[in-house]
Amino acid sequence: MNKLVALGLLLLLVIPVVMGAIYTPPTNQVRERGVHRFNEYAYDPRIQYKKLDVWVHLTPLQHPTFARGYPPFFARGTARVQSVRSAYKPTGEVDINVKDLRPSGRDNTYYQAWLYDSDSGYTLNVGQFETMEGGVGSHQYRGSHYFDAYDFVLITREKRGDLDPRPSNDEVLIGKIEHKAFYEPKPLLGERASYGYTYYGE
Amino acid sequence: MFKKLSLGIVFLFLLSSLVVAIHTQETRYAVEQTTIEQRNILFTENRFGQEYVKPLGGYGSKGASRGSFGEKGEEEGASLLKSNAFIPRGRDPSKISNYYISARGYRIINTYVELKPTDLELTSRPQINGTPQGHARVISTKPDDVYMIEGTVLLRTKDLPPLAPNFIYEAWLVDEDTGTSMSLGIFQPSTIGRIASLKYNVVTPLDAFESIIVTTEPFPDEDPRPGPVVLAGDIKEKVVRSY
Repeated sequence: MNKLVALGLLLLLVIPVVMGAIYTPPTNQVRERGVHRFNEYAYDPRIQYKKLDVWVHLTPLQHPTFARGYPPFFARGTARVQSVRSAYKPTGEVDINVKDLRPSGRDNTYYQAWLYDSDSGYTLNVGQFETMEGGVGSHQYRGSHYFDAYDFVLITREKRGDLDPRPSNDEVLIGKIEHKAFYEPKPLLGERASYGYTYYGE
Repeated sequence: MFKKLSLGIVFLFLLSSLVVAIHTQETRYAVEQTTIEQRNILFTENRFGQEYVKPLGGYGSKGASRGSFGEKGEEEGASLLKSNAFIPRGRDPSKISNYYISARGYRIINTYVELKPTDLELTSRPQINGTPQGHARVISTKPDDVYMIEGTVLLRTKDLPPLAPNFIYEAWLVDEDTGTSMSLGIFQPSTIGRIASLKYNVVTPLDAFESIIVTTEPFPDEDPRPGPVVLAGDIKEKVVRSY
């Protein structure tokens, strides 16, 4: 009897040690979080809208020439153009950063950013911004458009308080938007469609 | 004898389970595979570790430190702002916060515009519910913390008829002097109720524009110019105040 009780108590001693060694609580397990939408099994062209996410390098219309010995600093900038061609949630975003422009506080002007379509000649206003000393300025635009048609980012200098909503002739910076076929996934054709391949057009 | 033995075994049992509990490695607080002892070392002083020293005199922290001259302390409510950009001089009464030389001479616009249908035959299907209509508020003003003038258009439409699948509605501001139209964005009325709302915000004064129109556009569209007009409304009594 005593032996049995002692054996039972010994088992009681051994079991939690063994369990602690074997069992790992669920909080201990490493788990990958989030939904993995972009794998080869989940491709659906109906929800893969044409997207655009490019960096545009803004330079003056004519590259300036410098006298010997002068540092080659001239107006320049970058623009990030993002767009989603969705009928229900269209998204157009432009983030502009410029440097070495003329400070706009000196002559009571401001700078205005445009998207330009060279085919139709239409310019879309994406807003005005100032530059401080050093010619540094930045600007953000968020709208419900898609930017498929536009192929240039244009920055002009405008007078303060003018009532003409068209861009002035004083064009400061311009940059080309590269529309890449990568951002427009085409519907799959032929035999490849049944294997889940994706390709991005010609 | 038996009592002592069993008591000893129970004591041993408790002791061993305690040892097991302490030395079992767990992943907690994003620190992988540590024991209680290691976590105690890590989290005793503060969550940044033993070597963390509180910054001197507010350098790098958001508020001014207590003990500086007349400024606000770290623990006060004003220091819980995201940045101290708006209180650079604290309670200094000589601070002039609303003066900016370039912002003189702008006009505040805050008007309500009604949009009426122009031609119902332009839409692809006959109307179902009632007469299409739209309402918009046009605001052009300078926010307190921004030096540039911002334009905002809040547009709502009702009973716009459903279009063919490859067409979509687009809203515009029109300047009749120069014949320029500025796109406000594309939108789809909901299937039930035929209502739609659009919010447009841009850092540009909206003085120049005389009317708002809604057009139908092909989707996708390679020509960004406006198409046939469905709704139109004039912006009357534009200027609220002149500064």
